[in-house]
This record gives sequence, C-alpha cells and structure tokens, in this order.
Amino acid sequence: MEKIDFEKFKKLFLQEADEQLEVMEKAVMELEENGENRKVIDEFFRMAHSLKGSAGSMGYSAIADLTHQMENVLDKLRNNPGSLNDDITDLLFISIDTLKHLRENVEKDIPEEENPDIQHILERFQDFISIETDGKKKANVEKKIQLTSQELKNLKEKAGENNVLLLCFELIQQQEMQSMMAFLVLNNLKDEGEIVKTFPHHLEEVEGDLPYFSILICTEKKEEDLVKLVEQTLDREEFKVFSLEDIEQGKASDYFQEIKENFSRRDESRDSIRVDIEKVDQLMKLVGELVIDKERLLEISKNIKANSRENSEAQALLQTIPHVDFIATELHESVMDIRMYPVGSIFKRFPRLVRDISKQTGKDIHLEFSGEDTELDRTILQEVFDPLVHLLRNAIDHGIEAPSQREKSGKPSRGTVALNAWQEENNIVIEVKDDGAGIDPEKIKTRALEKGLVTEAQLEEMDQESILELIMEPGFSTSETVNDLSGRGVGMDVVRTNIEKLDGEVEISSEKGNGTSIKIVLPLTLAIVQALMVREKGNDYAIPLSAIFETIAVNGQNYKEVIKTVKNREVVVWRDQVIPLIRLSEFFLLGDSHQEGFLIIGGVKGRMMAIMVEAVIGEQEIVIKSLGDFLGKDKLFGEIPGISGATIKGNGEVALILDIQGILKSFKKGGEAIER
Amino acid sequence: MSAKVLVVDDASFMRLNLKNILESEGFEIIGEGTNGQEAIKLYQAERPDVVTMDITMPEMDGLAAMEKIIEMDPQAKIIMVSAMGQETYIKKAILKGAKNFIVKPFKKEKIVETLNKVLAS
Repeated sequence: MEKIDFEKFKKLFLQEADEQLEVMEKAVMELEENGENRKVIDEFFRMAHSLKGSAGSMGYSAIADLTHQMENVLDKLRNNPGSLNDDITDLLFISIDTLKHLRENVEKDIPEEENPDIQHILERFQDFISIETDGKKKANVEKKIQLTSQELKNLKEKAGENNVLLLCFELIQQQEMQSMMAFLVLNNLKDEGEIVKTFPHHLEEVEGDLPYFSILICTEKKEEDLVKLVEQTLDREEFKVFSLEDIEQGKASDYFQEIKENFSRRDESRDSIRVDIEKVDQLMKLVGELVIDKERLLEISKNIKANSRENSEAQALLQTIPHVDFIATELHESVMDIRMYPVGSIFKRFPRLVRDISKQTGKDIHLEFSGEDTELDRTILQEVFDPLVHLLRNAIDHGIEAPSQREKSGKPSRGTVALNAWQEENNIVIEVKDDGAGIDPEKIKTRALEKGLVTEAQLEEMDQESILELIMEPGFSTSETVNDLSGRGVGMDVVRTNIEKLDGEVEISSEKGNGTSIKIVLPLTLAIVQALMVREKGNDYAIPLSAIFETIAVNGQNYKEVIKTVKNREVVVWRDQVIPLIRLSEFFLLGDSHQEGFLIIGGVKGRMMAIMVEAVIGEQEIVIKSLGDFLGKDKLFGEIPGISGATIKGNGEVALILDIQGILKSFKKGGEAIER
Repeated sequence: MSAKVLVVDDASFMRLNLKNILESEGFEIIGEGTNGQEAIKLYQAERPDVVTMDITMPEMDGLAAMEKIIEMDPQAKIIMVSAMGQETYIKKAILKGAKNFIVKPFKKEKIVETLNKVLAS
C-alpha cells in the first residue's frame, strides 16, 4: 500500500516536474530573448515554488534547495527591476539543466547522496543574492545541521540562563502526512521557547512526506519537560535530544546523517535495486551462450528421437529438453526486459539542444514529444542518440523556414519539430517530424545528377520514395549554405549507416511545403534473433527471419518456370514481380553455382531479391556475435559486403550471418557497373 | 473509568468503524455527530474527554465546529480526522488548537495510540 502510494506520488511528482521544468525553461529563454518581463518572472517563480514544494514534501532535498534559491533570485528580480543580466540567465539555465538531471535521478531511484554536487551552484546563487542584499556571503545551512560561528556564539550567550536543545525527529510510526506531524510538533514547541532554527529550513511550508526533521529551540524549560511535551504527540523512540555541546562536537549531525542514510537505504530496497549495467551485459552474454547450448540440445534431441525409441533414459531426456528450451527463452526475455529503457531518457536531452540550434539559426522552434515511455534496448538507445541529434539539426536547419518566410506561406512563425516514438510489431519507430518546407524532389534530382549519383534513366524509373532516399547517399547535400550545424554533404548517409549497423532502417517521407518525416525503424533487440540456416559449398549461413518472405525449392522440373534471364541477368518471377537472383556462391566468389537448390525470397522495404542456396537447414535462434574486430576498412578481412556478423551453431561451429540489405546494396552497385 | 469519546463524521461507515475500534479498546462512545452543528450541541451536552472530528462535512465543517467548541471550552481535546492531502486544513486546525490528527484510512493501533496520547496530555 505504502509502496504503491509512494510510486503513485513519485509518478505524479515526475509528471508535474516535467511540466514545471518546461515552463521554467521557456520562461528563461523568453527572458533571455526579450528581456525582463514581470509576467514571465511571476510565472517562473510560481513554477519554481510549486516544484520546491512538491520536491520538499517528497524529500528530494537537492531539488528543493535549488528551486529555493531560484525563487530567491526571481524574487530579487521582481523587487529590483532592471537587474537582469546574462550571468543570471546563465545561472538559471544551469539550474534548469541540473534540475532535469536531478529529476532523472529521482526517476531512476538514485539516492539523494549520489546526486551531483550542487553546492557550487547554490553558492553562485548566494553570491548573487547576498551581493544585492548585504554584501556578505551567507552560509548554506539548509541541508546540514551546522551553525555559523556567529550563531553558535549567540546561542552560547543565551545558553547561560536557557537550555539550547536540538530535537531530531525520525517519524517511524507516522506514515502519512508526516510534514503535518512536524507542523504539530513545531506548533506545540513554539509556546515553550524560541525556535532558533529548523532543518529543513522551511519546516512550516513543507507538505507531504517528511521522514526526518529537526528543531533547534532555546527554552527556559528543562529538557525532561520538553521531552514530556513532545511525547504527547510522538513516541519517545521517534526523537532524540542533543545539547549545544553535542552540536559543537558534531554528534547531532552524525546522527542526522545516519538517519538519512538509513532512510535512503530502506527506501531503495523497497522500490528497486540498482545494478551495474556491466553485470546485466554479462548476464545477457551468458544467456546468449545458454541459447546456443539449447539449440544444440534441440539438435541432439532430433537424433535421439530417431535412434533411441526404446531407451527410457533417452526418452526422459527428450521430455526435459523442451522444458530447457522454454526456460531459456523465458530467461532471455526477462534479461532483455531488464535492458529496456524508455526512449524518453534520451528525448530529455533534446530541448536544450533545440534551443541552442534555434538560437544559432535564428529560428523559432517548438519541440514536441510523444511516446517517451516506449522502451528500447539500452545499447540500441545509446547508438541512436547521435543520429537523432543529426536529424533534429537537419529538421531545424534545413526543414523549418525562417520566421518571416513561414509567415509569408501562411504558417505560424514558430516552427514545430516533433519527436515521436512507438512500437510497431517487433520494431520500435522513432520519428523526427517537422512542419517546415519539406523536401523538393526536383532539387534532389538536380543535385543527384550534378553529383553523378544517378543517371537520368535511373531517375525515371525511381518512385518518390527512392528519390527522397537519395539524400542519404554519400556526398549529397541540398543545403544552399554550408554551416556549422549540418550540411557539408556528410550527415544523412552517416545516419543511415549507423542505423543500418543496428539492423534498422531509415524511412523518409516529405511533402513539399508541408514538412518532412524521417522515421528510424529499429529492432526491439539486437543480441538474439530468429534466423533461417542455409548451406552453400559446405558452409552454413544464417539469414534473419525478419528479412525472409518465402523459400522455394528449385529442381529440374520448375527451374525454367522460376528462373528466367532478362538482359543477360538472371531474375526470378515471384508473385508477379520480377526480382533479381543472386547466387550465393558467386556472390562470395566461392565458385560456380548449381541448378538445384532453394531460393530464399527476401528483402527490405519492398525491395526484393532471391538468393540461391544449396540447402535449407531450418529455423534457429541465433546469438549475434560481432565481427567488428575483423571486418571493415583496415581490418584483417577488409570490407566484405553481405556479412553482418557471425553466430555459433548448435554443434559449436561458426556460421556467418547474411546482411540482406548489404547484399541488395552491393548488388545494385554491381548492376549499375554492368549497365554502364 | 473509561474515557468518553464524541465521534463526529458525516459518513455512517466511518462512525461505525471508529465506534467498533474504540469500544473494543474500552472507550465509551457518548455520542455521534453527523455534522458540525450536531458536534457543538453534543459537546455542550455531554462534555466528552476527547472528540474525533472529521474535516469535510455538510452544514458546518469540522474546522468551524472545532473553533466553536474551543471557544466554549479552551481545554477541549479535539483530534482532526483528515483525508490525504488536506494539509491546509490540518495546519489551520493545529494553529487553532487541535491536539492531533489522524489520516484516513487509518489503522486501529494508530487511532488508539493517538487518542491515548491526547488524553494523557
């Protein structure tokens, strides 16, 4: 119940924090651009205030401290019109970034102590505030039980006739509205003496959870009388009393620290555990090995089935193996699930980037998100960040028009860029969409011809989509100005290469005048996939099932029906389509091909081909092992198109994984060469 | 001698619940009020040792009733019964003399403990 409640509140807190941060970020941008504006400052203040309140009550003291200081500065700004300067806007920007970071830590249940040190930011605030007020720096006493030497001196003077006592509370019994219990205790103590200080500083204002707090009181009463009074509301084990001497010796702050640590530990164990990602990767690796062995067991079980019908031990083994198969698959899915991360975790980094780019380009951009909760394998997510940055830059730099131009075409002067994510079957789609000028196919055609990327004849055969895709060819750029942001002709081809490395695809659609949408389509997971095992010239190859449509057996009887020759090139007629035929042995220069065997009909994005192989072995789950250390430019084997990695078969041998997209691409190039 | 309790709540379920809990712990329920007005009348007539006072009620809410009762009897021991999130009301109640508060939904031990603490003060 408590856990559910806490999670519920946390969720709500995070949601609200997002909105508040967004408004604050907008406000500071507005202030930077248009100078001081009372309304904007008020709004900003309000958001900082609400965030402070909710963070305080949730016990997120770093956020509360920082927003508290922001509030102070904003208040100063309100009271001293004309005092806004770049230092302040900078500081506010830094604070918002830090708040975002802290907010993320809250989401990830990272304990308070592991938050980045915000002391230096707080000090900068205090510098600013205190310069304005009394020319002196104030010590930050918000978080720690620590008194300035002046305060200690004052207290010692008072201590002569009075008792200076620090009451530290840890609410064990009370679980709901702890802050109200603090309020009650504080209210009761008020009549007993002078409340010198409270920790947290704004104890009366805190609402919600407040598992620990303390009150420093200077009273004429005896310690035991005070204890009795507090006992009217709380149990004796819920608070401790420290003398001034204890405070000086640091006993009180040690105790406070201990409570805090206990609390965050308790909190942590209740909600989640944090695991080093390396351990998860290691687990994934082991699961991968298990999947290999599982495949091997399945293969062995086929033989047992055929050979040992009478042997009861063998039969028992046969019954066990499917269970192992099931468990291994479940285990694989569970580990994958641990590795899943919401795409929102990288989306969050974009608003600032967009702000910077729009500043540089002089364009007014509104950034929108959807589907932040969509989850993706952590490794893929990391790899996708840079391509997304590039796409965003393109969208703003090339896509969105200058405000004046937008107004001319009847659009709002502020352009919108949207980052959307969703799941589509076994893929995750991340879309960068803008409402800018769109891509002009004519411009692309002209540029592609200029650069010699295509011939006129080829252009004529190309559909709209293929033409748009030309912008992803190396050496293509339509930007009229080459600038620091994007352009220079590198970019989209790099994006495509990076995404294809992840076994993903890039899809472009655009309407001239109405904007562009670029979709990155990614597999849910990388490490383990279903594949069809095929054999050619004694070697086994794995083809990811996702790229296969059909297999056709070819023999003397149907050979002539299926395989035809057009313009000296072999093609396959498949479902009324004419698709190119690739003989695997010829493609890999392994020698002459054969007349009988199997055609693997496969392709991506509707571009099909048929691959001729000797034999089809069967479907199998394969664990992808990278050949990155061997394949590629300047590597041992150089660049070998058509191979995306390797896998270990059930019998322990290595099989290469075919890269359908790569084969299609290199085949296309080869084809062009022949035609030229 | 068992302590005399006045239970004030507009929800009959909540009154029954409190009554069951308190009676099983040896408290004597000397009256049940369904709104602020009734609470004041019952307090005047019965002079209970302690009152459990719901905040949100029709006619006159718990806050106003509490104020009136404390006006009559500055020593009155009133425990506010609140739903989650009614911080503002609780703060007001505390400032105006409520002795303690209970958050709904409550555990039996919590309510008994709170009553005992308030009675001991």
